[in-house]
Amino acid sequence: MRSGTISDLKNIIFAGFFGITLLFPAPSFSALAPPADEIVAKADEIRSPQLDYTVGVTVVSMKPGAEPREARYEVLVKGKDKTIIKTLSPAFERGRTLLMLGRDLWAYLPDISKPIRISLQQRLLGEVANGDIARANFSGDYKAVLLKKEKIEKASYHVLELTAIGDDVTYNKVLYWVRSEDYRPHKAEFYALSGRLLKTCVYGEYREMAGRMRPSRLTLSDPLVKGQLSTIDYHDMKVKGMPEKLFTKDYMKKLKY
Amino acid sequence: MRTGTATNSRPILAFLLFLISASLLVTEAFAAPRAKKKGTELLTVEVTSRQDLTRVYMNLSSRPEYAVESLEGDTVLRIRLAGAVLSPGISRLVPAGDERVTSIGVDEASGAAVVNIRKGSGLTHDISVEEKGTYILAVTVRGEPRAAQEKKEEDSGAVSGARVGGYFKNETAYRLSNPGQLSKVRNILYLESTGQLTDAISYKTSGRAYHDAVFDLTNNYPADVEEDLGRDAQIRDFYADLSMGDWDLRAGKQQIVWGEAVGLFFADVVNAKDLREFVLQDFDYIRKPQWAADIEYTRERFHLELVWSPFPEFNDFGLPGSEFPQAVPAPAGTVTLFNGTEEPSASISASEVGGRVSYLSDGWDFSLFHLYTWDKFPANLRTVVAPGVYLFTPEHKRINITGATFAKERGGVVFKGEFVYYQGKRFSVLDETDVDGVVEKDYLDYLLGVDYTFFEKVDFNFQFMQRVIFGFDDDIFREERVRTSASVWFKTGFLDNRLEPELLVISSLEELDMLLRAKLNYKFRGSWQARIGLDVFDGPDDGIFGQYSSSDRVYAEVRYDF
Repeated sequence: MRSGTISDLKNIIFAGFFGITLLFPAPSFSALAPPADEIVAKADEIRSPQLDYTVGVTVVSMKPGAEPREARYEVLVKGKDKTIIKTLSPAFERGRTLLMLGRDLWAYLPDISKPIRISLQQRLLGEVANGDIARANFSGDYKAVLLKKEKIEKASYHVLELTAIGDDVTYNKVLYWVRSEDYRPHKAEFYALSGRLLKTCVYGEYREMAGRMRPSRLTLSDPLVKGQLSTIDYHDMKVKGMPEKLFTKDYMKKLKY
Repeated sequence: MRTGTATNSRPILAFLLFLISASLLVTEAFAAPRAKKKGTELLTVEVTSRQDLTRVYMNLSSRPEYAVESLEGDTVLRIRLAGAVLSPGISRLVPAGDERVTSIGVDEASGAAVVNIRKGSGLTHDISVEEKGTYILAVTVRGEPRAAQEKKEEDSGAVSGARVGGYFKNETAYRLSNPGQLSKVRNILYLESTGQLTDAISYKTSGRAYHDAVFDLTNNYPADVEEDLGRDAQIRDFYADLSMGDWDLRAGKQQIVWGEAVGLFFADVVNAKDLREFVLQDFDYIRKPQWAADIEYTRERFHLELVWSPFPEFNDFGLPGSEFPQAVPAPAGTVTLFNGTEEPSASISASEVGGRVSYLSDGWDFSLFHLYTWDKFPANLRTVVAPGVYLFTPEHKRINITGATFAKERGGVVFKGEFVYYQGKRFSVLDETDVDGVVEKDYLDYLLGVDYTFFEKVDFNFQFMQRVIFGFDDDIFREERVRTSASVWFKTGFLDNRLEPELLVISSLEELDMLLRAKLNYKFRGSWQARIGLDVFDGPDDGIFGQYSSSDRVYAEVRYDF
């Protein structure tokens, strides 16, 4: 009898604990944070407008023992996957245009006066990957997993691991730091298929552009070459509707500089 | 009166010029920072920005000796701190974050610390030195950045003004084959202006003028060659673009360029070509701009283009005695006489008309085109005046050109193809009994090519080409029933792609008939380009390339863009 009472009590305690657990599950990290892909999408919205827009870009490349080199571009973006990059300087490259329609690319070179089909690997694209210059949304190209939270200088960050969905993206894996309170991108590390760290990008100099605070400077560094870095500065960002025909290879010859 | 002695010394002079250019190029390319000397230390570089000025502070351990240079059209201030070294922890790239000062680079070179301040053009600056425990060298940049000015103009609704640009270029070539001699010392000025008149209307005008000093410096060419190539001034572009919804019109003097291949003109059939330097000129200058209306309709992935050109243009060829003379369809030893070329006069009935449709589907870029045009090569109608004496009357005939092109990228490989069918082409024949020395045949030119980049470093292109003449006649001059050729091209880059070697080889696959082009391009100081190159022709005397085997050349080019 006594033992039965104790047993019942145990059962009640167990059932109660189980019930409480169901009602108030122990706080877990993943339960507190929004889904990883949502974090990435929100960070994408901060990096660049998800509408049509134009932006001026200045890239300064620095290598040890060499003078800094500057190049200026005008970037036009339409929808999710249409981008035009117009080269404004240096003077001898002025007039070069790159059209990206998803994974399809064309380059227009003034000295041959026609658009030519190119691949992502072609050197013609230049030193800084054009994906870095143009809007580089992670959403859609990568599947995100939330690894942990990390404190950096008193702020809390989501640390996400992004894995390429297809094999046609530049980087196989990305580690991505996004500030928890407002989804501001802070840093990204880009990895090759072999696991080698290829590049680090820091998102900084937040300013109001196209209606909200966005990073106006990306600082890209090569972990293998000390002192080698590039900065990408964004300015004059304007949300602006543009006709579809602008983003066709046959229109490239008509773009004005 | 030109002296033989002076002429004979010019090859040496040319070689010296070439060597100097090459050594300058190599010196510039491989110049390395020299060993540093201990002295003043550059501790920090900081920047502050106000509404009216931006100030760059260089904090130094002792009073600096400095020199200031203004570079790249006053857009870079270079502060050279003699004998100064960089503090170990100093940042080499200082965030400027300002449209007045866009970047600040810190470096060491030739025993000095160097600070490069990149600023907007047209802004004033002053420099001061203060002692505050350490020494502060302050560079103050004042004025309104151009971007802000442009923004004001844009915000005020003003139509954007004209932009004027261009370049100056020198092209110097030296013929290697006997007799070795200067073959070109051409100075070129190119100017262009573009602008937007309204939201829907924009324009471009451009012109090129050159003078070839080879005809002043040497006496190697006949007077008519000097007249033909000695100097020129021409309008290259003169057109307006009108945009109306999905429709666009470009009207005026222009180039209309079709096709996917690079470096060859298979589907590039609309404009006439300037072949006076064979195919060695820049492609943009091989094409002759012509007056035309180009109407385009674009709807999503579909594109339609209609072309009307009321003023036909025709190919230009090298004259006898020039470096690249046009071949004459006659056996060796024949006396050849020429009447003037008969060209159609400008009229509606002489118009050239054509159309092209393109569609992009799943990354496949297809196009089909047809052009009712004039054969840009003249049919050389022949009269046998007497045995061994031919009189030619070149005449341009109507021709129909139909073609298709495609391009597709897959796994980093770009596949390209062009197929062009010519209907009604007049070929010259050597058969002396033929009434007019020409026969009419149809033929097909096609090309299949691949582009690939090895190790993300070496761009490569391979193209396989064939010409098939239907109903072939064995007497057709310098043609075969099926002629097969191929080309390979490599290009890579060093020094951040400022130094780019390039190699192109085109050859017949049936026999050695080859053109080899090797180039070394160097870009420097933002606006300058230098190039040295070698062109080698090899093959039989009646080969497409072999006919110019005595015109092998080395060349040097310098270009300044502004």
